[in-house]
Amino acid sequence: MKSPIPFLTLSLVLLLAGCETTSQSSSSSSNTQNNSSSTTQNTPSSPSESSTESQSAESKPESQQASQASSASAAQAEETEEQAAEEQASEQQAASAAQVGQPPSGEEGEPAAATAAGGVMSDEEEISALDNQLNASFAVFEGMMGEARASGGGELAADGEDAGGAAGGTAGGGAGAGAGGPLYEEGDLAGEPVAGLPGGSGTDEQQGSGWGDGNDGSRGTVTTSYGKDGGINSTLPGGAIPDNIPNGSDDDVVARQIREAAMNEKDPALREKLWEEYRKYKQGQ
Amino acid sequence: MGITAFSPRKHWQLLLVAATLLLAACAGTNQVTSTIVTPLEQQSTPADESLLLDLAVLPFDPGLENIESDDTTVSPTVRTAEAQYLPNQLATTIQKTGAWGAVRLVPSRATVVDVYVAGKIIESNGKKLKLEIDVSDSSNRHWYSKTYEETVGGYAYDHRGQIQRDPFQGLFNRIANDLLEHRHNLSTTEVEQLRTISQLRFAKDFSPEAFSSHITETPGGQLEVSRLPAANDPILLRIERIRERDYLFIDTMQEHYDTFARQMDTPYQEWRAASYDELEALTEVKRQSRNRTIGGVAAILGGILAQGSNSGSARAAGAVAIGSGALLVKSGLSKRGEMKIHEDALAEMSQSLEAEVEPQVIQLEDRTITLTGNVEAQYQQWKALLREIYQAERGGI
Repeated sequence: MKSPIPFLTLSLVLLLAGCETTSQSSSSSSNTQNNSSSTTQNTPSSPSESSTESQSAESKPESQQASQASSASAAQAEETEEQAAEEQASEQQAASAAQVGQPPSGEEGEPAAATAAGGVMSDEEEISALDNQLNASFAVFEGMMGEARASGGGELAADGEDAGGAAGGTAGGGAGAGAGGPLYEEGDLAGEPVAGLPGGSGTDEQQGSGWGDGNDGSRGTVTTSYGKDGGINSTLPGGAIPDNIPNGSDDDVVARQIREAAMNEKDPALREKLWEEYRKYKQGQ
Repeated sequence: MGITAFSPRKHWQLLLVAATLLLAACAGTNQVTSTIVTPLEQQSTPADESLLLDLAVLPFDPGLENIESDDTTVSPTVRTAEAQYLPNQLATTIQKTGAWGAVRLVPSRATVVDVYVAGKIIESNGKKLKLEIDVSDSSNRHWYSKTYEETVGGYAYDHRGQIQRDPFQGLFNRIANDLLEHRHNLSTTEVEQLRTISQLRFAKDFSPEAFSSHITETPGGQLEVSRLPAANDPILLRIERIRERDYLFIDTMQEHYDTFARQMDTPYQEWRAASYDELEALTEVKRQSRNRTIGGVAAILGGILAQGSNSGSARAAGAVAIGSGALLVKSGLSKRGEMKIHEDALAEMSQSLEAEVEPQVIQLEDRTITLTGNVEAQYQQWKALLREIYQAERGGI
């Protein structure tokens, strides 16, 4: 009688080989699912397609998944190519629309960047950009007033009277009430969209600041912190700080506000203008 | 001998002159001073906020041309400081009437405000304050001009047991009361129009392209509303936001003026009190000097007259009168020396105050010029931006 060991060994080898094949098929399927999931995150415009494909992949038996994995990957690659082609066509359409002075038919929020890159803006975009510039200059102006109050109200604060006003004016970037309590209604000074500035700076404590409610994924929330050296570190929606910009450790109130306005600005053209303003101000100092 | 007898007619004439001189010497020269402070009238009923007019007090004209070159009791630097300090006191008083919107001291008429109060210092020392006040509004309408004068007594500087207040508070109260009276004579329509004109003037200043046709100027130079912009006019809304920043600038400037007034208050009030004492002493010495001189001259005249008498005793008395008169004249002249001492003391006090307030005046001027310059530069940028926005909006129509 022959020893059963060689057969057993052969069976084990075959089983192992079979297990390895199945395992590879499963992992391939899993990768496909992950890929489709990440596609859903990256391209919010086609969530239903990804979801359908994902569901259909899950509903199939594992063996079928294993056999269809390569074909699914190929189909996804084709789809990605199609999407890229569509995006390219959309960009071309937006660019051609901007050239004739009409707003592009793309998503809201995108035109500014697209047209800024294109260099030609429609009237509405131009007005919007100018309004942004106006808002940014409001912040600069309020900073200037805050600084003036700080320098002029120091004596009052030293007297122990109206100290709150002087301090408020400084810390609030100008929006705070001054000494003696201004009788003018200061309306929207505190709550304008331009705010994007810290509600109260002047300390080394971490501050949170942002453009809005943060629901708009394109802008998000800016987190600004003041380092111990006085420099500003931020997570920016509008790109990195240019190389030739100092770290801001010796910024005064005005410089700090220009810097933050620049960091919070999404429009590259306007952002560059703000950085330019910042450079000029720092050179002037 | 050398003295001839007078005729009876001449005799009586000389007697009359001598008697007049004596009376003049005895006559008191005391001025009427105010001991009762004119109370400040206040708005009796709560004012409708939409009908409150904003009021700006401008820095006063120091009236340096009224200071004589030999007058050592008044220093040009002190007068310049007073030109910033006194309007701040006036603005504070006007604000207390509760009949106005914001009452602020503003650097110039370039700031658009509903009502302007300008002033000129005619005379100012510890004893007397005389101001020429001129009131007009943003439509270029002249309200009135009036001169206010107050002379205070020593009681004004005696703060025992009473509330500390400016010695000339009564004068400021009278100015504020007159303003309130004039304000009450304005109809609701006039007030609303004035506020609209202020708004349109500001708008026109920042965007003449958009608002130049909304207000017109009459041949007399007065501004009138010709048409109104839409309430939701986008350029007007932007300008309103700019105006809020303008208010911020005005408030910031007010803080500078307040700081200056607070720094100046103590040395200035001390100077006023000391100045009052010296001026009182000087006035008294002047009065004595004049009385003695006049009395001495009268005695000499009487003595000369008596020398022509037939009576021996009268001639003897006349000789005594001449001698006494000469002594009185000499005493009167010696009082001039005392006057000089008091005048020197006043000059020294002015110089002392001058040294104290001069750095503050310079600091205030520096801050005012710097801040106004920066603000003006910013306003120019806003005007350019608004022009671009206006053109873009016009292009989009």
